[in-house]
Amino acid sequence: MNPEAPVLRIDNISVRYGARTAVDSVSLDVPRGAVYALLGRNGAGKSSLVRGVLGQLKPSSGHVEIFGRDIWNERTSLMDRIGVVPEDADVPPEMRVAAVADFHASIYSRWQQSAFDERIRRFAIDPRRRMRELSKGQKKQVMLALALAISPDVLLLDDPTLGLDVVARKSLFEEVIGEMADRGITVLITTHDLAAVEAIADRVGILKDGRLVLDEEAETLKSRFRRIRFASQALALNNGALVAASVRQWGSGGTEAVVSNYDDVAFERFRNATNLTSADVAPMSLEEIFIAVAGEA
Amino acid sequence: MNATLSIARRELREKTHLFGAAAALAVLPFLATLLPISRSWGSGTMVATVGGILAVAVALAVAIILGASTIGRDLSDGRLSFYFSKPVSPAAIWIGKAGAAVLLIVTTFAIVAVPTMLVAGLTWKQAWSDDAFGFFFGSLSAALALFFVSHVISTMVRSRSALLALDLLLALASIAASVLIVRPLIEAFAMGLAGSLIIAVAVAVLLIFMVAPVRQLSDGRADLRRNHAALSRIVWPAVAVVLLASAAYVTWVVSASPTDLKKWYARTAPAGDWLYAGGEARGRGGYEATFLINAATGQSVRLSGPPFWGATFSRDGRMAAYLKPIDMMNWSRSGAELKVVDLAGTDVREQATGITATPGSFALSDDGSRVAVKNDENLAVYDLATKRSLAAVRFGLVRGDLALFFVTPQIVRVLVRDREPHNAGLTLKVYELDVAKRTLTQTGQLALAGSNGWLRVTPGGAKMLVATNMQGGEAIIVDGRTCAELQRIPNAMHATLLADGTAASVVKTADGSLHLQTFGAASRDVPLPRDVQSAYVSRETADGKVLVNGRLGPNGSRVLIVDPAQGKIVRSEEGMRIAAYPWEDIRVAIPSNRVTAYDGDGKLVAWDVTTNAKRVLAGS
Repeated sequence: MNPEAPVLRIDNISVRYGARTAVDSVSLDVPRGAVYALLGRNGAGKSSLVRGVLGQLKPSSGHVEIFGRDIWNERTSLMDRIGVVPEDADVPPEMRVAAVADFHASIYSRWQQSAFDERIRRFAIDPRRRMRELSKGQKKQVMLALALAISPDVLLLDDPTLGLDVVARKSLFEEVIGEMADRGITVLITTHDLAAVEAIADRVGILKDGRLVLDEEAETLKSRFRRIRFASQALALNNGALVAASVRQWGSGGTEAVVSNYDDVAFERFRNATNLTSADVAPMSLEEIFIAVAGEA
Repeated sequence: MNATLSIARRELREKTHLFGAAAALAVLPFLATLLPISRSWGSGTMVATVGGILAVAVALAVAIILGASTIGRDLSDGRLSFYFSKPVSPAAIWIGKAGAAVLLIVTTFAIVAVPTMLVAGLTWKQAWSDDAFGFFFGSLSAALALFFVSHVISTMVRSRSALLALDLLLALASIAASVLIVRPLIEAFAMGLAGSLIIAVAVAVLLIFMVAPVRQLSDGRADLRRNHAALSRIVWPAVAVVLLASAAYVTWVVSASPTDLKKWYARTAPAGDWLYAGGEARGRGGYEATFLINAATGQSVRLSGPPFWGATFSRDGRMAAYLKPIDMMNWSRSGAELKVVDLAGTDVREQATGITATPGSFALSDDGSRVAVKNDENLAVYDLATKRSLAAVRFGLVRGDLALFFVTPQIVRVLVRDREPHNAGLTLKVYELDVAKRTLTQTGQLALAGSNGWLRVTPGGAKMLVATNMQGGEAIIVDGRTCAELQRIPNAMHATLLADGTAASVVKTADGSLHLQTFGAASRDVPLPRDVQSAYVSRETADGKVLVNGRLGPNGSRVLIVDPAQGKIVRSEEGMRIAAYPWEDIRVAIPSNRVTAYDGDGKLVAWDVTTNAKRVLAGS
């Protein structure tokens, strides 16, 4: 396989449930060693896309390749290299943690029992406990330990911090970051935890109503989005060739605009054209950009 | 394989509580011996009976529970992704899970059954079966079938998809199609073949249910509705293929032509060229087909009635009649409808009459225009053209055999061999129904010494030959109406009447040799060849010859053509045998040079005795 080729390639896939389209013609690439954060509001189509990526659901059209191989047709062998942390732990609730690990050990060719034991110990989880006896955060931690112990080349995290407290979230991401640093694995993560993912994401995609409305390098994304506030009514941003992702009233008579193609030259042109004397230009967090693009909750 | 075993092991570990439950239930048969009823049954019988019932019930219940939950519950709970997010194939998932389920079913059955078998010992065999393996095999087969069926139903029902309505429709259509496919076999009384086909279809459908989940999981993966859709996509076309193959097989079986027959019933019409031939079709699982065949032209007409009920002809050979059960599944209650075939018409095909009858209890008039039917406790005569009843009288129940024929179009004679109570032998009773007067009269009676009775009547009914012991007993010729004795024929191995009313008999002499004796104008004694082990007079030719079927051994046969006038055998035909039908018309056949016979190769042939020309009618 070409080392420059993306590890994960989603090629124009659509997922339909009867008349409803959950994923609509989505294409994206995740390069080797990159962390791709797929963002989207509830019902945006993230879970359907993830199921398609994992070969658990056949897309209505398009296809997904991992390491250049079709996931639908070659899921069994590809999954040996893919660690998965599902949104909800799907381990049978009666299984003990140690039994789950035994099961994984019997089917994964690169299983590392010591790595699993070490993480479980670090997470302070008793391996003799049954899955149903664990808290939601502990289940997520077990799933993460399982996913990392298979020595994955690709890690797929489906909203891994959903329902976790701050400490558990921090601990989970530290594990992911640590593993990524150690092994350079490729990560696809869907999450609502934008603050946490901001630190690790190389590339960001935003799903809205099943369509991928944004797919960009995280740094580029953050560099081109700015929030501009000025104390007057809305002015024509296009005077400076700036594109407004959103415009709303701010304070008493002021305006807040989110610009999606900010650069200093364009902003100067806008200021000159509109005789704007004062304006506050601020960079935006990933969460703010997400809200501006995907819409406020 | 590793993944399959891991999944199976995990399934077993998750369901170990079933072993405990089975072990707890295994105690119940022994506790049942404490019940008061156990004193009258005996503790062994109690243990065996309760143990057997419980073992089967446990196996069936476990099968249903596991079938409904093994995949279905994982799918509806969204937990099948646990497997699909791992490097395990759909086949490994299904085989691992189903394998574990099968092991659980077998083990829980054994946990309950085996201790009771060991303790009850021989009593267990008396209570259930000498064949313990058969009991185990039958019970577990039913349980395993239930497991796979439950899985399919569970997957479909749990999806709550609109597709379920289509499944239901297709299931009903499949059942209806199965009935339609098997029906022609049942109508031909091919019960063995029908049973085998039903079992084969059931096994094939079960195999589909066993294998289809691999495709279901392969296409549907972790999505319940897509699993349902994938399962339906594989199950119904596969079931359709099985049904189509079955239908094609049945169509092929029932399409047997006379050349396919290998075993025979044959009956030649008293006059004309038609004969009835039925028998087992070669390579068709014992299926028997029946035909009317024109010996002159080779034309054949397929009959829909069961072969062993045969067909009867009018004396002029222009009308054939036979019976077809009204309800094949319950024909002894529903009775049978009389069908007729007008052999003289241009369109030779069966016609319904709406008249019900039972085998051997009806007769056509000599011209085929009327039929006399003994039904239940009544005797009736119908006009076949109008289906109108011409006369009906109460006859009463018959405990023995019955034969009837038209003496004239207005007189029906009924011969009853009544079995007397307390095994006191037979009484031959003769009745006459006067159609015009609608009266029934007993005209004669004769006590028969033996336990059986062989009757032959002259064409007009004037004389009747009665033999009660065909192995060297005595035959009597009596008046056909009154039973008044006319002549005794001693030592008859086989006796019959000839068309002129005289008798012919095969007798065995003191030295063990066989002779044909005729009692015409001059009595003759014709010694039969020494290699003939048994013989009987079969037919009479138009030029007065007597045809004797001689049996040479287990497979050998020979037809001896005897001239009674000269008192000698004029010709022998090696390998030939005149076709005889078990329910031959009791009236002596009309002498004819053309007979139906089996040749040396077992084929049914039309044989002109005078010219020795033979034409193959059936068999190949």
